[in-house]
Amino acid sequence: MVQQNAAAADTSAPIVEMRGISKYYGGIAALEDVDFSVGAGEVVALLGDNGAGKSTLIKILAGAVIADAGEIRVDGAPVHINSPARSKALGIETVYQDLALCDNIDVAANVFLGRELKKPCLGGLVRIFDRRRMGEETRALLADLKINIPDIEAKVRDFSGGQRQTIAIAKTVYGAAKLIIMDEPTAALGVTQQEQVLRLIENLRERGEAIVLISHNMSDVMRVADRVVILKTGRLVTNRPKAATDRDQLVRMIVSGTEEPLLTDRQSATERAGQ
Amino acid sequence: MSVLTKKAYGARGPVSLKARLSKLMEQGSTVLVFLGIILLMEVLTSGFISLDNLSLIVLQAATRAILAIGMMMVIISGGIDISVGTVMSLCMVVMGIAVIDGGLPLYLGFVAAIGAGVLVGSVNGFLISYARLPPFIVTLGMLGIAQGLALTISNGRSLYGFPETFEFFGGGTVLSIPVPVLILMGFALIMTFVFYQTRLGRYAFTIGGNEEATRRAGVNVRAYKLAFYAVVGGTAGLGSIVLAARINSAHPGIGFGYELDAIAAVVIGGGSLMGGRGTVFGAVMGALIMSAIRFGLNVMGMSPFIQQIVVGVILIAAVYLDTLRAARLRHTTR
Repeated sequence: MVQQNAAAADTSAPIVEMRGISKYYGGIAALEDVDFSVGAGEVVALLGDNGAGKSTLIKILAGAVIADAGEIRVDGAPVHINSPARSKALGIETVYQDLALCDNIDVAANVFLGRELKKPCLGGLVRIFDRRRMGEETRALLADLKINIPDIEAKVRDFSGGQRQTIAIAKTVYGAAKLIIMDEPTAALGVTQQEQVLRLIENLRERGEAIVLISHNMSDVMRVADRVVILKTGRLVTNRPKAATDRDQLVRMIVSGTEEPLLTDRQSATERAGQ
Repeated sequence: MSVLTKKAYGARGPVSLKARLSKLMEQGSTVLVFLGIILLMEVLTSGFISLDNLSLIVLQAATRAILAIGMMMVIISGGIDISVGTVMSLCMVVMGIAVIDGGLPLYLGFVAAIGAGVLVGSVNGFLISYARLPPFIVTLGMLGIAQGLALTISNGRSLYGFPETFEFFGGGTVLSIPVPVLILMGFALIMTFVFYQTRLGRYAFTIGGNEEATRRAGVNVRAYKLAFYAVVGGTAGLGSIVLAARINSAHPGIGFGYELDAIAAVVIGGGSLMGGRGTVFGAVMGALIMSAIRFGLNVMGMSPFIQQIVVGVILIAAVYLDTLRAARLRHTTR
């Protein structure tokens, strides 16, 4: 009780905290004793080669996989995430590529998919969609996030891949997400479109959202991440501030799976200068 | 949430004129096709265009249009129901037995017909959404089952002797508009409301567009899918009432073949068998086009055997055009 109060008072307390997480498939450890946490207004890049355990860790947060050992806390309180619905209810949202939007309906309808607003009509005889309010709130949401979508009554199919990705992310924000998990949000996008998505991630950080970013793109990571976590064959390799590493060191650690010493700013600068 | 606070965001974004225009073109094109067929028939058989002929086409289209509107719901959701024709026969026979043999009042006969349709449709929907069987196979099986049931419970006979008031629903007029057409108009209005103002209609579109996204948004996709097939079943019941009233009798074999017309009407009217697209107006226009073609072939003295071939060819051609349209849409995307 005392501890909880202390945690609540501490503004830097993580939104989501995982401790000692393990998951075994048969005799093989997909994750072994992994600690992972994300704070408010923090972008944590989750890195690792294929099979490193990134997806398993994310699936545990999303409720698609249940951990065999370990503890998860949301806002300091211990929780059991035993289903996707429970994860959603706790404010954890995952943005999957191409699985988030319906191409054949408009932007506002997508943002409100599954939670459409209704209003009484004909003196309360029937209830119809409140398109006006859904439109207004969608415009307000997009403006808040500085997302440029000129026509929210256009079908999602008419937008670029980058715009679609930003709409998908905006949808999770409207869902009052505390933690947004993005799985390769810039993959398969053009350069300008990647820029749109990265700028949105920066805006979200300013708004105080907690974000987990899975990416193979090291320049994306170096640009938007505050902290990097690397996994290799289910074990934690490193967990450090972005400022204490650089792009080449990240790649080496992902490949070798051995932690290298922290880089100070000066070191990394000289290294870069030396190249 | 701070996101919800209202601010002065410009009234409306620029609505793309091109999108509106192409939508109008698509809807207008079905009207043009319909008028083209009428004109062609006039050229081939002079004196085709008359008030009698036109109202007969519309009257015959009523049953097809009702079925097509229901069919549209499953087709938009990415499914299909090829059992509607024989289910309509079953509903008709159920109503005939309830009213003629059982002596129940007419309105209870209507309830029985629509209820039987909803029940059969729910079985289809359950097998498709909960047992995860392919819609084509389930409704193909149901096509046979409904036909067999209709023949069994009627002993294969036609039923005559509906109360006199029944004729009103097939041949009567209100303000000189035939009652079947009024029923169709009412049903079309209700279904337009369902498609654009209710979750049932909205989720038919989103499930057809991206089923996984709809599921992830927390929608009970299975329950909605079941409901779509229940609606088509109920539609077959409504269609059976209109058709039986027009011939003032019930026949266990009359519905077979209507599924082809209904599916063709949906596709001709701009619906896509790949799901996610279609309009009530389009389905009604598609049914009118099918009726005009059948009526015209009759007037030209073409045998019903040949007509079957023509309808089959039209269905395949319409679906082919739909695949071309879908390919074009994919190309223009992104």
